[in-house]
Amino acid sequence: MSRFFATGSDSESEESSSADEITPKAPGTTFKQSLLLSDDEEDTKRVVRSAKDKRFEELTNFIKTIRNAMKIRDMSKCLEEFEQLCRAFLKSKNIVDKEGVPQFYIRLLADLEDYLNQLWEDKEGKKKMNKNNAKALSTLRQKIRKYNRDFETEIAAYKENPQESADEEEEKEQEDSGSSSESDDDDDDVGEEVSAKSFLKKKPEGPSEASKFLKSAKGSGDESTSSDEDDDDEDWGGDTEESGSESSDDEEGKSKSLATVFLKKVAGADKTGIKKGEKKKKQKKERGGDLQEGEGDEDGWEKVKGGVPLVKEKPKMFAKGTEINVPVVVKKLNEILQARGKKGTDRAAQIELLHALAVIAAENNLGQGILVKIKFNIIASLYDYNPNLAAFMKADMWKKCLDCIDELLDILFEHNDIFIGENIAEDSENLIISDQPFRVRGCVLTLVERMDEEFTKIMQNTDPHSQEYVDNLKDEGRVCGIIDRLLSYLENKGSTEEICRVYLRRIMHTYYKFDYKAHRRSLGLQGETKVRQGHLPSAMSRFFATGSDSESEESSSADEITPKAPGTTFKQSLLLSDDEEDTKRVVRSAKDKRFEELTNFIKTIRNAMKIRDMSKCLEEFEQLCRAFLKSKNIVDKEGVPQFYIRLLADLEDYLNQLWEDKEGKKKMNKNNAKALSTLRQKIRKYNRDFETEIAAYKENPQESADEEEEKEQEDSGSSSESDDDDDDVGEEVSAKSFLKKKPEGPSEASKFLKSAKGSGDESTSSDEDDDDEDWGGDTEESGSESSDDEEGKSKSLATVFLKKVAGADKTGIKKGEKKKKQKKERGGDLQEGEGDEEGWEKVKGGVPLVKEKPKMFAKGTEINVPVVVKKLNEILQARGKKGTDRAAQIELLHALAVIAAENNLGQGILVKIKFNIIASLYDYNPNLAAFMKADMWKKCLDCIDELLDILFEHNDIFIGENIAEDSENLIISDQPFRVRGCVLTLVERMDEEFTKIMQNTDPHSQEYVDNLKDEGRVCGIIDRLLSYLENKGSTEEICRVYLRRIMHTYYKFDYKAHRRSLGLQGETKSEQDQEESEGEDSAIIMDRLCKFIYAKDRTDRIRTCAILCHIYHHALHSRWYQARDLMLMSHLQDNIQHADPPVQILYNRTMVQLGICAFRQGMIKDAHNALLDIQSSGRAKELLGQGLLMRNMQERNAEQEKIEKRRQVPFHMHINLELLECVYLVSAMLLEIPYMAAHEFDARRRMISKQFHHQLRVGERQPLLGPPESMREHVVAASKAMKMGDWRTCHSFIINEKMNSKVWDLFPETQRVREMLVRKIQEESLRTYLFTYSSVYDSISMETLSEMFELEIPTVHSIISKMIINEELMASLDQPTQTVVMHRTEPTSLQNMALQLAEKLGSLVENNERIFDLKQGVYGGYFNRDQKGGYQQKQPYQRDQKGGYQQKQGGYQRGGYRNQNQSNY
Amino acid sequence: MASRKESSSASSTPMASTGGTLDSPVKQIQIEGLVVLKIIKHYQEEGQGSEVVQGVLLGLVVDDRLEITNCFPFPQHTEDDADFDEVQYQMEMMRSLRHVNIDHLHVGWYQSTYYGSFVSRALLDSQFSYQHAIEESVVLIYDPIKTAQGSLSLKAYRLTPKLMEICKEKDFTTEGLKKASVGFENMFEEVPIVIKNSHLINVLLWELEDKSTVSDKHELLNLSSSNHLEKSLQLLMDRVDDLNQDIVKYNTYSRNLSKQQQQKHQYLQRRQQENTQRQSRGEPPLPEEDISKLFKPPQAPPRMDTLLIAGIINNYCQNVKEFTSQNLGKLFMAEALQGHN
Repeated sequence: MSRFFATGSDSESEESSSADEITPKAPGTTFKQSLLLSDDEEDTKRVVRSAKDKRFEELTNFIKTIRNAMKIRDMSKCLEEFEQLCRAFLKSKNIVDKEGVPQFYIRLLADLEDYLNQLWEDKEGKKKMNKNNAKALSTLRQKIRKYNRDFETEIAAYKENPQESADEEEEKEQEDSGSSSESDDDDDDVGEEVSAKSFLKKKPEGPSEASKFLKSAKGSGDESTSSDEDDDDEDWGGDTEESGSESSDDEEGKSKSLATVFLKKVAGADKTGIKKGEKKKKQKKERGGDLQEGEGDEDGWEKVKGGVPLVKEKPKMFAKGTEINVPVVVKKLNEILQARGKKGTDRAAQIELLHALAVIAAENNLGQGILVKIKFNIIASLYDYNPNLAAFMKADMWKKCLDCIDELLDILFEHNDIFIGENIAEDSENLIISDQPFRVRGCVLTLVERMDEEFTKIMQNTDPHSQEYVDNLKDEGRVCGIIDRLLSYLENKGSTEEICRVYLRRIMHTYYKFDYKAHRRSLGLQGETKVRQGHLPSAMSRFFATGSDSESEESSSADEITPKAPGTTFKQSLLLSDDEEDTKRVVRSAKDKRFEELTNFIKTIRNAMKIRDMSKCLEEFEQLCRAFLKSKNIVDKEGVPQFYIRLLADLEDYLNQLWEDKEGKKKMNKNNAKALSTLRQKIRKYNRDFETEIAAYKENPQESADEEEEKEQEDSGSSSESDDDDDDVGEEVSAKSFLKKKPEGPSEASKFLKSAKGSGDESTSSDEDDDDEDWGGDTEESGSESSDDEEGKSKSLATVFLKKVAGADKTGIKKGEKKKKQKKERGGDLQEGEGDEEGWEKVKGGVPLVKEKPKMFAKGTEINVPVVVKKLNEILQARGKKGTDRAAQIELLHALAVIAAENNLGQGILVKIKFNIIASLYDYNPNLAAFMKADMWKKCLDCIDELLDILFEHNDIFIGENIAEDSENLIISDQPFRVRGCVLTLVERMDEEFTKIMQNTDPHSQEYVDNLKDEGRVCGIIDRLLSYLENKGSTEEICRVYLRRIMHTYYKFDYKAHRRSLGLQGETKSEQDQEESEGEDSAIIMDRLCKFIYAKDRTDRIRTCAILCHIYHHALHSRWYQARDLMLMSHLQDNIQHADPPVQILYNRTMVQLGICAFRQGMIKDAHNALLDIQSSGRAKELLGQGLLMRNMQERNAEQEKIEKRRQVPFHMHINLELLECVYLVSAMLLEIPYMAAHEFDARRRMISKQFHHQLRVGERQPLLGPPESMREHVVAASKAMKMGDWRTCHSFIINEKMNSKVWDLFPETQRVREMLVRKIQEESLRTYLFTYSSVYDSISMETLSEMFELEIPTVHSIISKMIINEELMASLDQPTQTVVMHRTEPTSLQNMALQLAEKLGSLVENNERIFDLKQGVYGGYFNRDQKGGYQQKQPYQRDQKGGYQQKQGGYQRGGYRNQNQSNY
Repeated sequence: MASRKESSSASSTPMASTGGTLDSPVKQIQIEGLVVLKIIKHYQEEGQGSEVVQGVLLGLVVDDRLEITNCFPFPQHTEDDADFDEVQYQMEMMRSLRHVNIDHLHVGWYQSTYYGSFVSRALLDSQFSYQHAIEESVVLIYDPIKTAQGSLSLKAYRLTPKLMEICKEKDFTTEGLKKASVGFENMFEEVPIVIKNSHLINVLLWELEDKSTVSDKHELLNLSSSNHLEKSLQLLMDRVDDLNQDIVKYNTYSRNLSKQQQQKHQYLQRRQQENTQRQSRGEPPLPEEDISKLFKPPQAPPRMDTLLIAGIINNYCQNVKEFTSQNLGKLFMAEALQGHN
């Protein structure tokens, strides 16, 4: 994407990409072929020949090829070869000038033209040709026609006399000397001679001709220009660096505009100009300088020319003894690049060649300019490696590419005097070491962008769930690093456009990563000890603040990536790493350290070898190499250590052995096999550097150990020596072997580069080294992870890499001032670098320790807030994952908390950890139904307590669930802590867990009691939270916590308050009691909390719950009227059915409690009404959430059952169901029995309580009535007694030992309730008695009644009065005698019967009438209507009669009759 | 003594106000005193409260007079011996009686009743089967309560030929009953009973009457009537309730029926309209569909039960009327006596 925004004109990248696209088209290049060809010719042509011979041989070769191509009609090949031929011919211009155009050349041209014309005519054949060929044909035809015009005379002569021409060759050559100018003239002549038409035809040729003419017109004075132009022509055939492929494509592609081609030519000319070097420049300055200069120039060319055939024959590198200078190298480079993009070009070989070239350039100290140029090309080649745009780079290519870019950047950083730009023309390049700065065409930015794209491509094409992906991802660190370096480079040198582009790249690598560090910082949890680190700005801020601390960026980005690491098994590693803590704290020399490092690697490699883990081997080997490079200075001093050589030899042997073992190879997994081949190649390459040593070792393995010291002496500075050796070898060995050696190029080159950089560049390289070291080592926190890499394999390489970078930063920080200075004076002196190295050494000492002990933090790791937070996040990552040991996780968190506390990291982080511990505890049970284990529960309570302690102690901690992670402030600072989390939620969850525990404990076990004891703690926590939130929380939170508090209060009877209210609290009470009763009355608390909720709550549910609890509480404490009023005010009865089940359960509980309260208060009717709904359903148990009823499975599946089980109310909150039923039945009895007595003869007697009647019927069905056993039987027996007015029996049935223990003793004020009950029984018995037996009395003395029912006379009086008033009793009171005089107006049973019958008959008649009506409706005739009318007329009479009867009845029987219709209760 | 009077009273009070033609083969029933005594004895020994005792009557048809000369009871079978074979028992019983040279011809059956609530479906069914098999069969209803009050209540009933027809066709719908013009009045026909004793017994009775005390004779003058009346009313009320229910049922039925009729009518109208339209368009008329399939008439409630209930109610009413009229007489007599004293 960045391409589209990048406004730069980096033609390079464009070209290369376009080359990519076009490359596949390039038909039948024979570059490779020619290489092979030359291989063959290698041995034959070792004779020194004249330049002419060489040239001519070259030409004949091309001609031969063309003739062959002609024979097989391969036009594209033909075209290609022809172009080369033309180029070669131009090259041999001086010779041709001297010798004349060779006859064979003319012959070919003529033949070719004829051949082409012939082909062109052959329409049939053309049709058969494939597209490429046809295209090539037409191109070639045009070209040759154009070209041949230059040789018209020769060709004409040849055509005239084909046989002769061969003989005349010599003469013609003589004639044709200086042919070009002549021919130009000829052209002019021809131009004048030919007709206008032909001229027109000629027009297209104009440009080139014109230019040629111009050239010649300029004359010798303008030699330089003309030679420039010539160069152009050469370039036409030859090529510039990048445009090589295109220019060759021009003819084929046809899509290229001539202008571009022309431009390129000019560019090419520039390059050659540059190649010509100082002389050329001079030449340019004095344009129109003398011929001598031009001759000299030509001579210079000759020299180079001399090399060319060698290149051809031994095309690998330069001939021995060739003076290697910049132009030579550039030429070679161009040659190599010519092949670029051509089909059949071995791109790998090309890359190798370029590498070799780089090495050569470096060896010969040709200056950084040329090196940079070569590097550019190497990288471009690497990008070209894959012809397909979709294909992605191979891993090794990718690595190479990264290395290359790194090196390039190194060079650029080291040498401020290199100017790079894509707008630098080829001819204005300055590659030669001089006072002037180097100027190189190219664009690093484009390369880096391309690299970034390649990285994306690689990532896209890797299976994201494979280890490979992770490994690849590890490279992101390097990519980022490169981008950063480029960024810092461009910030100094680049244009704003470029800076923008590179910034975008940086952004692209930053934006999607969460900056944990910054987040943590922002939360203020970072301790003061970490201030230094903490103050580093985040990566993104960099773009706004132009500070140059790239370290912080890197470190932060490292942080960001860490959490991504999937499926870490750090627990394992944690356990692993415990032991090795205390080892290796000795101060040792640098050498020792280095060597120990090396030996460590070697050990690992040997182990890997033993288990045949090739990939590990490879990895370790790479690390080893790097380590070895790092220890270069030491090695230089001390020589290559023997153990190193031994390992190399062994490893090679081992690998070869493995390689031979085909069977074993097959069995290997893919990764290993790949690693094996890679490693084998690597080691072969690598071992070449140590050939002598290895040979020596192999000869004398035993001895070698002894000789170690000597060898070391010998090998001091071995690397440079060996490099030299290489050169020698390169010269000595045959070309073939040289070829083989080529692949070593990169490493050698880099080595060479490094050494070339010399001491001046030490610091930079050491920087790099640092990074490399980190590769193996590790940073503080990441210790655990990095050790996981090997085990878990799931860790991304990128992370590790990043971490290394981060580590580097950290060490950098530690290094402090020194480092900073160093940064300022990049490329500073060696001394600094050394110091740096030392600093690193120290850290190294610690690093392996980290590896070995990743448990928490490495010993000596500075523990600060970000580190802890990081660790915390790591631990939490595993949360919820399958296979995570939750217990261990909790332990880890605890340990972390301890560490945090020990290090005084401040309360912020502690709070955060505590939060997570508690959350983990809750998570412990994966199943929602399962409940916490006792120990977990205790831990949880402790934790919450501690958390609250902290919160209370530190008022400056802000907690909230709405605090974003990145706005947390965990660091001790002036600002208050800010922690994400919600204590309230935790406490609520705790409360739920408590409920769950209680639900799942057998209520009749001691365990239950034990668990119940925790309720105090739970309440305590809630209270504490309440007081905390009252200060800090929002009203919503307060409401929630209030509800929790209410939930724990409402169902408890406040004995203290009860006692106080009764005034029973004597002074004699013990102090403890006093103390106990100090607290606020629960009623007051309830009142306060509930009222707050009523006022503030906005969620309906909380308010509903609060109201219900409030009512319950009132009812429980016998505040009947308050409870009732609240219930009526809430209107909950209307809409409770819409509430969720738990609330409905609460409602049911409340209603039941209300009913019981009413009963205690003697409001029998209210009690009955309140309880009716619950009791009539027969599902009281279920409705109150106190147990599940056994029901068939269709109604409730297992899932539902689980849900219902979760709703159950814990046992200690249960309402006694027997009490409930008893209260209900007794209420029903007290209502129903008098009612039954009063309406004995009513036809349609309403039942007040079905339940009660059911019980009565059950009682009646008993064949034999024994003394009552159950509560129900007691009630039934009592009812029967009451029916007879026998209150004493009734009383004895209702209130006795059994019933007391079963029911009545459960009331708080047992005695009062019993008294009330007795009184009620007496009253109702009296009423029943009067109803039942009034017919047998004329009058009855109230005194007698009062005696009978043991009621005071006024009570009896009032009851009877009420009955009389209610017209239940037909009697009057005779005041003087205190007697009740019966009016005897009750109808006899017969009369009652008759009345009933009459009523029934009435309805019968009505029904009959209805039938009659119906009939009339259908058959409504006149007659019928009349009849009906008559019938209806009769009706009034009847009604009158009835009315009269009723009236008559009313006189003496008002009550009885009317009561029938009256709803008594 | 009482028996003679009873016999006369029984014979003199033909209860069924049968407007029927009595074209049945039996015009009179002559019962041996032995049979009466046996029935009474049977009830007293086994019947209790509302329990019903049953037995088989044996006798012979002489001209249009059915002479019942003997009987034997059905044993009170309980749940325990469910496999008790009544037919077998009857056959054996009759065979045995024939062996001792007693009339062994099956001429009907007897049953005790409680306040005259004998008219039931069970009685109807069994009487139908008797009458169907043995043309002259009668059912003898013995009312022990009335008998205990001093007047022997023994009545013989036969199903009217109309009812027999209906029962044969099992057509208890309103239409069927209407067609047969069967009302509760003419379901049963009562056959007059004559109790015949041998002369020797008559002589003995005369003798015994002379020796009887006055107190024995004043049983008839018992004024306490409420108990009997109450019971009757109670039963009457129950039946009225039943009847009421039946009427409601019938009511809903007829409403449904009329509703359906309306729907049917509408449907037909619509169909007709459509047909005329189609005709005008020249299309063939819609095929006739079976309307009865479309509109299934609601199940008519069987009217037999209603009829029976009506019959019972009728009985009750007769009982009450009889009882009250007698009591009124007694009361007036008592008043007169009081006033005279």
